[in-house]
Amino acid sequence: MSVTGRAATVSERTSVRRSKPKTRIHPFLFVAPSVLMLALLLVLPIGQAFLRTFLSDAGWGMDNYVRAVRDDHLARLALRHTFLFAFFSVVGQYLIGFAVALLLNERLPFRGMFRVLFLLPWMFPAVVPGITWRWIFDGLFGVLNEVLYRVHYYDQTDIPTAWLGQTSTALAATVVANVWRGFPFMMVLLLAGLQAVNGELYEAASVDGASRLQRFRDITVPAMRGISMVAILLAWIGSFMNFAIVQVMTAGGPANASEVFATLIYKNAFLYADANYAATLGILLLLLLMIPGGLYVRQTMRSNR
Amino acid sequence: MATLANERTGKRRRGGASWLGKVRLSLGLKMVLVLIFLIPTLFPMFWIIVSSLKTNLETHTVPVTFLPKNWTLYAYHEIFERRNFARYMTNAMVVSLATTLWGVLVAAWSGYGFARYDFRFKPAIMAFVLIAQSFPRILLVIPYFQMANTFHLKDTYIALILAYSTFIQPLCLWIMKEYFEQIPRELDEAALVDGASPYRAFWDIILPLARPALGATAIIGFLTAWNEYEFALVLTSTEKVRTISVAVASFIGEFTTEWNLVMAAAAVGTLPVAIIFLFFQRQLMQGLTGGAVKG
Repeated sequence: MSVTGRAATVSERTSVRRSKPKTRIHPFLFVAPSVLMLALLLVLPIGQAFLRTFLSDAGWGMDNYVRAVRDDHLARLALRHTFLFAFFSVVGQYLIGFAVALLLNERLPFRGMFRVLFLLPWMFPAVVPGITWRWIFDGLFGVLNEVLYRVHYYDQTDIPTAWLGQTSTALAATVVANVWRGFPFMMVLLLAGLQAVNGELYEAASVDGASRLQRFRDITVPAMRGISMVAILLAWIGSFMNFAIVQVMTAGGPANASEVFATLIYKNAFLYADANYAATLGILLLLLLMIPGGLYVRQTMRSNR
Repeated sequence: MATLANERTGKRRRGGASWLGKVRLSLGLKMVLVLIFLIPTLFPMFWIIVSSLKTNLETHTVPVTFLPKNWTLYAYHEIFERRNFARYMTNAMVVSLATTLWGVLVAAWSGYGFARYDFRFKPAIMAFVLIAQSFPRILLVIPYFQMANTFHLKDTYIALILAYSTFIQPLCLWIMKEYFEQIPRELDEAALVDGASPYRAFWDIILPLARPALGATAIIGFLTAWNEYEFALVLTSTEKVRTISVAVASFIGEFTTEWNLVMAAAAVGTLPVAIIFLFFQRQLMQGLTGGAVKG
């Protein structure tokens, strides 16, 4: 490890006084506990999981990967659902998050209180949004159906919809729960972005006669590009690997209609006791996250310079 | 974390100029728009409370009532008396506190190193730290489940603490590093020139300055640990160390579910984080947006 930059100039100065330059050991001693922990807790287990993906009943080889990519129609279905789940979650979270952020950036009475209230869904333990929305969507005693009766969406004779019990709506219902849980974080990030926009830009633009739509398009939108990208990437990554909400609401059912990658991995590992194949699906999930993950890292590291 | 430091040093920005500029939406219209978003945001929370205060019979009655006909604390009584909920709360508390303390300690020490020194592989390590914070946990549970079986660590606190550290450690490390970078280098340089060792400079000068960041990091770490589900689900099979997340979910039955109990469990399980959230929401919000916005 070589010490460079300003730390080096300091170490040179101190080494003059101390005559024995031991400074090279310092960064190592500071950083070591953390790096060691990460290596032991993360790199090692991931490595172990990766190795076992090459092990199947037929012995060592690529069998698990061939099975996942070519033979397993459930994996393909789960992939489709995962993309749909992530896409509509991100769109919903971003649109609602942006709308609320714009509203809360206005002069409003109780603005601080509203901000706290809107952030509330974010704090819930991962399983709570799932079970709560499962109860709301309940076919027989759910409050959603009750509301739909009261607004005369249903006739008195209609049989209420089992939102989580039918294949056509199960996945959409999980998206609703995920949007509810996820939009507040988006809102906080976007609001921080809005507040960082230089107010003089707006003033200058209105002096020049720009309409409010023009100002939004030409000042707000470009200024929000970086933060939007970070927010969207984070939301995509979080939704793409989401387990708790889907598992608690539908466990992937009915008839795999809401099966996503994470629930399929769980099923393979702990219900079908095929940990090697589950790990293979996990590695594929990781591969699918590499592009958004890489973009996120690049964006964050750049703004960190 | 930029704002964390800003708050201590000076004024906070009063909110940016409105993109609507001089053309004002009437206040009434704005309030209506806020309510349109706010009602669906708050309704599930209202529904948790209302459902938890109903009898089991009433939760299984149509038409659904929007307020309990018979208000009762039966569900709360039941989850503590008969479902051993205090045990799950204690477990979650032990695991979350231990993981967070351990995480903040290591993060404070190493975060300083990452903030102050440059060395080979540092960008790669930092990128890894960033990724590790939102690593697909469903992949990690597989090797952890097997290791727990191999080393007879299933249903132990230590297994959960180690597993939780996989995301708490990098999270705390990143936040602390960001904070240390806000502290002027001149402070430690002055100490070094005076002949102090880097460890002295860290301990006597930088760490006391970082006290608010230690608190904020601990809060974020605790919330994240408390809310975890995957590891707790896989690494516990008895109520010995089972956390509330798993307990809440396990109240849902295959055929009939006592929804008043489930909702009471959800309310009680959320209560500790709700209290922390309401007391520390300012620090939390600043910690959350740190790194993402450099204004």
